[in-house]
Amino acid sequence: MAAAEAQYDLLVIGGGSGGLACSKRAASHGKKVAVCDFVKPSPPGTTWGLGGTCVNVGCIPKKLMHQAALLGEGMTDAESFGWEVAAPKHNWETMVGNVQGHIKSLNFGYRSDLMSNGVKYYNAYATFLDPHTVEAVDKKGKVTKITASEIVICTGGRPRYPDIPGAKELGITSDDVFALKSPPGRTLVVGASYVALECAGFIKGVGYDTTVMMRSIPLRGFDQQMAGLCKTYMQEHGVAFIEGAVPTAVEATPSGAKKVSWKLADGSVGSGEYDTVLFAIGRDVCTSAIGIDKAGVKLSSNGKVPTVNEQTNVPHIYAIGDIIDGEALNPPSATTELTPVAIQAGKLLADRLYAGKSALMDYSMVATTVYTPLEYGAVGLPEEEAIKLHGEDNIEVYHSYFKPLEWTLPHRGDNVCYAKLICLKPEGERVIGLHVCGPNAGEMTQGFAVAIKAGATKAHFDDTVGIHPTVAEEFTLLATTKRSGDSAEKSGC
Amino acid sequence: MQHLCWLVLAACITPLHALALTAAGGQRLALRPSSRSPALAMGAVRQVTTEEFEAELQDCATPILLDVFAVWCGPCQLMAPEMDKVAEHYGDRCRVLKIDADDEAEVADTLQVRGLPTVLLINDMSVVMRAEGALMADELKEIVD
Ligand SMILES: Cc1cc2nc3c(=O)[nH]c(=O)nc-3n(C[C@H](O)[C@H](O)[C@H](O)COP(=O)(O)OP(=O)(O)OC[C@H]3O[C@@H](n4cnc5c(N)ncnc54)[C@H](O)[C@@H]3O)c2cc1C
Repeated sequence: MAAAEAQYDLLVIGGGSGGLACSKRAASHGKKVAVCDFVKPSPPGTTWGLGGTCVNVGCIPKKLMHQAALLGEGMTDAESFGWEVAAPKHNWETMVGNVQGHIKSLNFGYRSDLMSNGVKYYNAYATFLDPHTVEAVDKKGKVTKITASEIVICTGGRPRYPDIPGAKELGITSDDVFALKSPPGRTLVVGASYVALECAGFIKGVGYDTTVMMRSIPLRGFDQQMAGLCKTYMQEHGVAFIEGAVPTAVEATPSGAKKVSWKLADGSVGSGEYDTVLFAIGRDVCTSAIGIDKAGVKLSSNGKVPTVNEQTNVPHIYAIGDIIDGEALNPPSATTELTPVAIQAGKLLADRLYAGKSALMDYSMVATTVYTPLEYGAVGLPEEEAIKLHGEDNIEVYHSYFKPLEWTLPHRGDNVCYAKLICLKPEGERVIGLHVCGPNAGEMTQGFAVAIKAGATKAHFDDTVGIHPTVAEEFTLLATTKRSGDSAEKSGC
Repeated sequence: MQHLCWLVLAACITPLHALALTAAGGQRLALRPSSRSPALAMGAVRQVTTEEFEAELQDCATPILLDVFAVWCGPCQLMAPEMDKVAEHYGDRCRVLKIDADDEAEVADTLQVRGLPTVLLINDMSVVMRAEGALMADELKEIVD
């Protein structure tokens, strides 16, 4: 059978955060637009619907499961507030069922959204045949040849597996954990990325023995002082850490468990038995199996796509989202792999291509939050980056430990939560980094991100009257500099 | 009227053979001949698959009231017992069917379903009425009548 053929103004490859936003915006400018989205099953066979990583196996399920863990913590706290409750029990199946139900509703919403916006949706895997043509193959093997004047690639990434025996056969990744039918049991999380620590955090938080195996540092790329606070909190709340170790093999035991062997930095070896082994050692972008050479698009050595204002080396082919090479941006950005970044870049690109607009995507000062048990929110530069970029003498760091009022009755830790502002002295102490570990860090950080984008200085923070009692007011009260050497800790009663 | 918040009642006449059950690729789904008698369970709501729905479409003897629903959709659960009442009321004068929008996504797409639940009245292979949002039995009957 000859392949069906179709012709569009814009073809978007990948119906994730970036692709959906870009395609709908382009269609709103009157263009004929198509989106190809296809999910190849993970090695254990997990698959999902339209919407990409964030909706199906990223932001959405992980934040809901983080919330499940927080509720557990809240129920423990509740006693000191007078609630008399029986020891709570968590039902994994109920959580997964409800989370997956919500995801299905989002999948439906995206399909219907494309329909309402007049965007043609192909549930098919696209590969380039030439710079203007792709071949889209659906799950029944039906082939459609699609040509387009402009093409946006936003195929996102997938979790990486270590190259060790048993990894793919016996391990899972973040592609699977949110849909796990039965409880994970004793869990080993390999890796110390934010995905690793977040997964370990909620798995422990809903009641399962959890161990994290890390090779070097936690939360690479983030402010290391803050990363340390997140990790310490996890340790103090029962997550075990095996440090300086890499796994060497996974084997099935007769009882159905998984025996993981590892090697430590000093050459010694170890092993342990787990029910679930979750690899979160990084992600690879999906640019190797889409015939990108036929399109003539050049890739960086890590498979990512170097772009200038989202444009690749081929003028009519663009890239957005996780696949773009943040290192190759000017200035480089460590915050390209975030949903709102992909969305913003996609919308602005469509506006420039089809509505005569000129606004460019600004990849700097993007706020983000890590949903570890102790949440960590950040905008701007990590302290070590700020020092490297501007020199220690030009940086003033204001900081303070604090204890949320809500933590006092249950007597939760002193000096666990922490806030710091990194200011650039030669520019009137303009804030170039804000970091906070504490409850609702995401909610706090989002608001401050606006101020920082607008160029807020330390004086602006000082002039702002706080809201009492809140955690965020801490930022209006910061008085201690790191340089002074004075203690940023608060003493007890 | 408390469940009518999203009610969009449109008497849009969409002939289904013209619109056709088009698959995502733009190809017409073949309308297979009916393999089973649709007259089996009159008086009750029947859940159908894509194939079964196609077969039902071919049978133009009685109108079809189709409820496109999903298991995660609260208003859909609310409307389910109302659909039961309607099915009972009409007996063999109207086929009352439901289809899962997640499992049978192609049908939902073809019928241009953008919100759930969507109720469609299909007569002679054409969509003659459609309504979005949970409806009470009386309101559903109004659509059929
Ligand atoms: C566990 C986890 C948690 C996360 N949490 C957060 C968070 O809290 N906040 C946040 O901002 N970000 C978070 N992220 C990151 C976020 O999910 C991504 O940055 C975002 O989804 C990237 O969007 P995208 O459009 O680049 O690609 P994706 O959303 O990954 O979409 C790409 C789509 O393209 C499809 N595809 C690939 N190749 C083809 C092809 N050849 N043909 C057709 N379709 C194809 C893929 O199947 C996929 O559906 C998280 C990620 C993970 C893994």
